Amino acid sequence: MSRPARLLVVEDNEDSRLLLGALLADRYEVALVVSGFEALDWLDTHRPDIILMDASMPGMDGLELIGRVRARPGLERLPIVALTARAMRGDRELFLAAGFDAYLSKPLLDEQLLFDALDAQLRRARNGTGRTPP
Amino acid sequence: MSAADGIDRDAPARLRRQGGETLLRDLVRSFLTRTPERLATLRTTRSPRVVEELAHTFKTSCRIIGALGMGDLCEALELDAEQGQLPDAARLAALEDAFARVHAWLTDVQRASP
Repeated sequence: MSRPARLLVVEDNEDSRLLLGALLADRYEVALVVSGFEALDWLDTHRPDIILMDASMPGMDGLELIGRVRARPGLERLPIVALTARAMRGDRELFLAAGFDAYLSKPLLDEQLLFDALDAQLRRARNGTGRTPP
Repeated sequence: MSAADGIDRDAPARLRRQGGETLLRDLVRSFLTRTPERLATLRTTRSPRVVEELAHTFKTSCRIIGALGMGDLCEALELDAEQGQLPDAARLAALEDAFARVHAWLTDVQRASP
């Protein structure tokens, strides 16, 4: 059987980390970090199959973090999914234009939506049909 | 899902399904411990930036545990703070009143937890 996908979760809210850890641990190999800075440090020495990141974090938000991740060699096409507690009109377009592959709203009432979004992006990456870098 | 008193009473069952009794217990304990500290900071800080960041993360915690009315009040504080405004006294009082109701509800949830 193939190994579980390696998922990096970047989330500053502790309760959200607890929930995501519980939801994802049975299906993926999960690494949890609390900030964009920690995510960049982690990426210095690890390579995930996909990143799930909170869009609004103090210090470095998701829009800045994704720019820094995409600028790294080999990570231009890495699937990256945004999680956001904002549900403002126009946000979806903003996040997709920033380079996110998918966009999910918090709180996660239906975990299947999360699994479906992650698995769809992992399939796209495996099939080489991921997003084209700008 | 939503209720007239701003409490989603389906949330504990959902969290139990998503992560078992341990997740529910940890989230309830976290919420009851952190909320008084967060309310105190919202009352005393003079920094809209602090309010904006705190209200944002507080909102997420409220909505996870099912305190939807508190989550909406936090969102209003967050949006005001984005415009440079410190918390409005009436809104803070409403948040504290809502927490009193949520506290009683979550204490019952804790008691009912095996």
